[in-house]
This record gives sequence, C-alpha cells and structure tokens, in this order.
Amino acid sequence: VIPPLPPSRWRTYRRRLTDRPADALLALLGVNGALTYFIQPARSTLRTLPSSLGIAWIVLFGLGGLLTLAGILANRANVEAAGWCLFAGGALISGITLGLVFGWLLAWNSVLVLGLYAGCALVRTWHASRGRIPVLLDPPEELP
Amino acid sequence: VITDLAAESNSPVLYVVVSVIVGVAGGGGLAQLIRVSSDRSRVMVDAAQGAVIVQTSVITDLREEIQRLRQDNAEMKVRLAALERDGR
Repeated sequence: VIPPLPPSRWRTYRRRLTDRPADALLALLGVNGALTYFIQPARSTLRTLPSSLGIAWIVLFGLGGLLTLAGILANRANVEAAGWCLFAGGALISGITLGLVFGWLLAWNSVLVLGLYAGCALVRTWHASRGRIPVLLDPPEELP
Repeated sequence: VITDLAAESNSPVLYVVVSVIVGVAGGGGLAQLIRVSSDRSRVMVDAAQGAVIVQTSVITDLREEIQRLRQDNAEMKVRLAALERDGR
C-alpha cells in the first residue's frame, strides 16, 4: 500500500481558513475597513476623526485584521492573539465614532454590532493566548 | 451633516477615550505577541504519552475494512444458520 502524500502547503492554508470562516471574515472586515479609509475616505465614517486618531484606528483595525489572518494561516497563537487584541480596540473606536457622529440613538444598532465585534475579538484573544483552537470533528455514523 | 457633526469628534474627551483604547489594545497586543508561545495552539505529543498519530486516510481505510468485515460476518451467520438447519 502506497501511503498518501501529505497535503500541499496551499491546501493546508486553505483548510486553516475554511475551518474557521467566521474568524477569517472578522479579520477581513478589519482589513477592509482600513482599506476603505485609505482608498475611498469619503465612504468611511472614521474620516471625521482627527487625522492622528484616524491613523491610530487604522493601525488597530487594519493591522489587527492582518495579524489575525497571518496567525490563522501560519498557525501562530501569539500572532493571532495580538491581532484579535488590536482588532477589538479598532472595533471599539469605530463604535464610539459612529455614536458620536450619527448620534447614539440613531446608530445604536451599528454601535451594538461593533461592540459585539470587540467582545468576540476579546474572547478569541483569551482563547488564542491559551492555545485553544476550534476543531472540526466528524462524528461516527454509528455509535458503538 | 456629517461635517457639522465632525466638530464633535474633535472633543478632548474623544482624544482621551481613543488614546486609552489605543494604549490598552496596543499594549495588550504587544504583550500577546511577546509573551504567548507561538506553538501554544499546536498539539505536541511525545513518545512517553503512548499516543499514536495516523493520517485521516488510514482511518477511512480502517472504517471501510470494518464495514466489509461486518458484511462478511453477517453472511457467515446466515450460512451457518442454513447449515445448522440442513444438519438437523
């Protein structure tokens, strides 16, 4: 019997991403937010922030998303945990800015969602810093 | 409207709040990067733990083999029962 070949590098990367689609999506939201600020600033609410705070937000949100993606792809717990921590800060700043610009009552749902993003990112920081990873298991078709 | 409201976002309170968040999140992120082991999420098994690691394809092959043996076993039981009936 010829033993099967180990999976290729790209297949491994793809599996790491597709095993955790929600994590990858949240990280991509961070990267997308930072890109929108740079490429189409007119569409970004965060442009109303003073430039120094805007740059700080980009570093948190965009870099956080990038680090999270890199950590998932490379299976590095410390990089992923750092990315989630930065992403949480960026999501908090986004929520506060939205609340200030559009009014807390008018933008309550967006603020709530961004707050939940931050909460989820903090939970993932906690998990990643302890080496906890979600694992997909196929349950047996028949119980013994 | 947004331009008018943007003046509110220049308030010193916002500077303080955002600076605190940047400090906490940035410091926390840096601490995670430095202090957390990069191999923390990997499953490390040494020989003393008596664990055996096999590829998933091997497990699939073994499941198929068990299924085939179960079918053979069921057929044998039927034939044995038939033989016992004939023997009587």
